[in-house]
Amino acid sequence: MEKLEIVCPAGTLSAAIVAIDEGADCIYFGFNDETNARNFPGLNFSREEAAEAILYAHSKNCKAMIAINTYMNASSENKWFQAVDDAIILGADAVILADIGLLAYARDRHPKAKLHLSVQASASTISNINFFVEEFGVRRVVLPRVLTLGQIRDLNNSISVETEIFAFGGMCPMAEGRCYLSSYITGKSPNSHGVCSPASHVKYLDEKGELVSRLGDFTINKFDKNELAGYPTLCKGRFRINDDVDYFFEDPVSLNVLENLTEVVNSGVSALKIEGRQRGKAYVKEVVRTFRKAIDDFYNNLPHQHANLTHLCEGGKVTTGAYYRKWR
Amino acid sequence: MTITLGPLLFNWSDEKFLDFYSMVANELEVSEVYIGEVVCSKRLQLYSKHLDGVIETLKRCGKNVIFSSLSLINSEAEKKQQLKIISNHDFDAIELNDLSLMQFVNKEHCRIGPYINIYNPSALNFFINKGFNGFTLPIELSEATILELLRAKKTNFEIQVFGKMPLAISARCYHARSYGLTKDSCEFICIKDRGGLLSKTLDGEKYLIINGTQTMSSTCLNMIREIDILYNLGFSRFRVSPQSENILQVVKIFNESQQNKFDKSEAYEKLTRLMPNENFSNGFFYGQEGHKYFYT
Repeated sequence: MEKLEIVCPAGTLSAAIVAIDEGADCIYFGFNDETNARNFPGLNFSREEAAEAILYAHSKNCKAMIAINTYMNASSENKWFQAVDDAIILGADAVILADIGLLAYARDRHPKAKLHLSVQASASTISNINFFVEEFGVRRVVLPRVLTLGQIRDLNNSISVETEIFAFGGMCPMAEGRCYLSSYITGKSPNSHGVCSPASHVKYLDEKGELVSRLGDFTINKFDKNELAGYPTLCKGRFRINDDVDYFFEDPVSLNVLENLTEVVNSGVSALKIEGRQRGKAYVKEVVRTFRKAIDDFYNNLPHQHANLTHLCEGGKVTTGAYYRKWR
Repeated sequence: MTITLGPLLFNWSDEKFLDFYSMVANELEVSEVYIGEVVCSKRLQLYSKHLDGVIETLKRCGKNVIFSSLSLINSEAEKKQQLKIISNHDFDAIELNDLSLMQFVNKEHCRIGPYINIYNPSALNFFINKGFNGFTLPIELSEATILELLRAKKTNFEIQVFGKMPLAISARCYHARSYGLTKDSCEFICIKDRGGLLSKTLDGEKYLIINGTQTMSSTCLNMIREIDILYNLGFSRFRVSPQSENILQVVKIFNESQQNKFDKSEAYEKLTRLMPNENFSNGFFYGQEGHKYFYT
């Protein structure tokens, strides 16, 4: 049995170095523009930084993958094509793509390159995955966060390529790549701009002692003085339906599968992805270190005693998300 | 130019479902009707028994009937359910909303639906080369993007021009969740809210509409003032999405506006008078927030 690979986020070169030093099997990052789905100010890699990160990763026997996983702007496809060309010239071990036009380009121009299907393509069935395998030679699929571990196991029994699942961090309750909520509320979308609920549209206001978090023209939450005020992600706020007030879409919560490693391994996935390219070095260091130890202990049949990561989770809460039916 | 009726996105009782499609067949001035369950495979079990009858009535009244597939196929059982419906009924065409069905269908008989991401000429050309010849574009595309797609290829384009906009799909049922249930134990609770379930902000502003596993806009897309631009660009089909009220009058206003019985501003005023409580929106087209309306 192949050991589960830990795929770690790098928003900056220094985060990449920390992840590699803490024992990441693989790091992933994006270029500093809208070609990647974490297009935040001050984040991501210039071509020079990418080259440095790849060199350092390879010197430590760690792989480096580049996410070029937004949908190409119709009038500037070349920017995305160039990103793929550069990633491959720089020696990335894989490129993570979602757009069918870009996948077609990568397959034609770089037939030997390893193509991974981004979660943004939201491929959740055997035939959907086979389509991407047959058409573009995709070698690994990052599964959308809509499947249970049982469904993932069945899927892995029927497909010929590797799968990677999200193991830790912020999670979308919606099927990725098929969500237009952010552009509806703010005009900026994950698919086109690489952002969801962007900070540029966030405001915190003090209203009679209450802290109000707003995104664009909408109030996403209100907190009294004793409450921890979370980031106003548009689907993780408190809203009103009839007379009830609740987190009707999703609570402020983070994914964590460390308590369920046996079932995760049995589901046949090849890699665990840690979310959080927008998070700092301290987050990367602690999460990667904890996952490295947990995975090593698991394969060495040592009792699992993981460090508690709750303080790094949204709202201080964890979930196993769609991996169990009860979430639905 | 034709006005088409998109698939019914809400879960309606048998009686309301049959009444609605009888009205569509006999009275609604549209030439093409999309039918099928886009949101939830559980709902499809409820009314699939009526499909044959509804298709026959629609066709007898001269409508083309196009099957619109689920937008998120999540299991082999759901895929098989979709293929069974496609093969057991006499549809004039199939609209694919998930790539899971791609390898099983005759492409010339198929259109690409709005839930498949076509954002650029390269993606469009990929599907044209596969043999597809109809495309309903994703809801969030701007005029600039649409223009690039039309420049790249003249083909049969369709776009939603009226109705609540589908914005997201999930494995989780928010409708069940808001009633304290789960998707597996949902008791088909969504049947209670025939226009979906409105969520508001804590300030009381309309936010989003919950429709089972789908999340929709609380605003109503209204592109009647942009139709001429789209027509001149080369669009031939304009989709109106079913609402629980006023659909007959809405389609009539769109058709009469196209026949130049009144100008676009007057048409807009008529829609405003018809639906005084509705907030209209068209922001996506202008590359802005989708919930906003730009009166240009």
